[in-house]
Amino acid sequence: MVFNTGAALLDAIVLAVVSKESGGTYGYKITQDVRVAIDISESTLYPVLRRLQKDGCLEVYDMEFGGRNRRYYKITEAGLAQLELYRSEWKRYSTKISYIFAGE
Amino acid sequence: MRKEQFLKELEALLQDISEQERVEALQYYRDYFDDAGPEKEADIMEELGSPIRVARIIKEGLSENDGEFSERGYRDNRFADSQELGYRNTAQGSHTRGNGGETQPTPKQANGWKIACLILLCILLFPIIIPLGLAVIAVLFSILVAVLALVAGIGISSVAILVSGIITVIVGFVHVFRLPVVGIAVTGVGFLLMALGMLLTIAMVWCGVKIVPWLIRGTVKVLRYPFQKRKEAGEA
Repeated sequence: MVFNTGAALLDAIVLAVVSKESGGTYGYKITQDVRVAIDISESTLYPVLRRLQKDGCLEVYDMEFGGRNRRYYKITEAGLAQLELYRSEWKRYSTKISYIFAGE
Repeated sequence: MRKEQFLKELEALLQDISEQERVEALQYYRDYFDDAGPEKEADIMEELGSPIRVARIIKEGLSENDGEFSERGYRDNRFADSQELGYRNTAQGSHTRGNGGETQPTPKQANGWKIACLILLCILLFPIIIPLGLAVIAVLFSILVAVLALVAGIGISSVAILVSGIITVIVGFVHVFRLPVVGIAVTGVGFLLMALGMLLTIAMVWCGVKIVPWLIRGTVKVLRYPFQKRKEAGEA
């Protein structure tokens, strides 16, 4: 990947991916979904999820799946507000960059 | 079984973080392996790298939590790794660049060795070098003196020829009135001698001006040659 994904952008992508699943989602799936957009190593996501959880943007719960407890991540109200902020910031930012790139 | 081994090692490496964090992290990675399925186990382990690397990333994330809101914990670690490598490279680069002054000791040391060898050689060849050197200097000096003497001798004799020519002309001129034939012949010989003397004088003056300084310079150059060579070697 040519462009480096900064911390805030990675947070935003993770929050957006988790918010898509209203019933919550799990680590492996989050990684796969994030990887659709950016090339991220499998070990990078855990600290991000853990921190978002501590910041109150994500909540976790365990649910039985296939005879074991699987950890699910779900976006919180605070997380949604944060995601909204990221969305509007991204829109502003990407519009400006696109405008420059278009060269008009 | 490899997965269990991996998680066990990871758990061991996370002994220095809180129980809660350790359980959380292990739960995450256990889930990750289980959700990926056994067929992807090897792939995942390869991408995660060693348990040491995973443990380091987990701990970095934690230390970042306690402190400020920093980029480090969120950074895609492969980028971070490559950046670290980049830094290391630049550090090395500047090191070598900084060493510009320091890299010189190596050739200097080699030079030191060269000089040591040369000195040893000089000591070993001392009985040969000194007489040989003296002989060379003596030969060169004698050649120089011989040439100088030759030039000076020819010069002096040419002046003498010139002078004797003048005298002969005067003598011949004096005798022209008493014995015209002899007088004219003597005067002619005197003029011939004068011409020869002048020619030789001019030739010798030219020699003295051109050849002698060239000879001296050449000798000096030859004598200086070994020292110059060493100086050049020292500079190289």
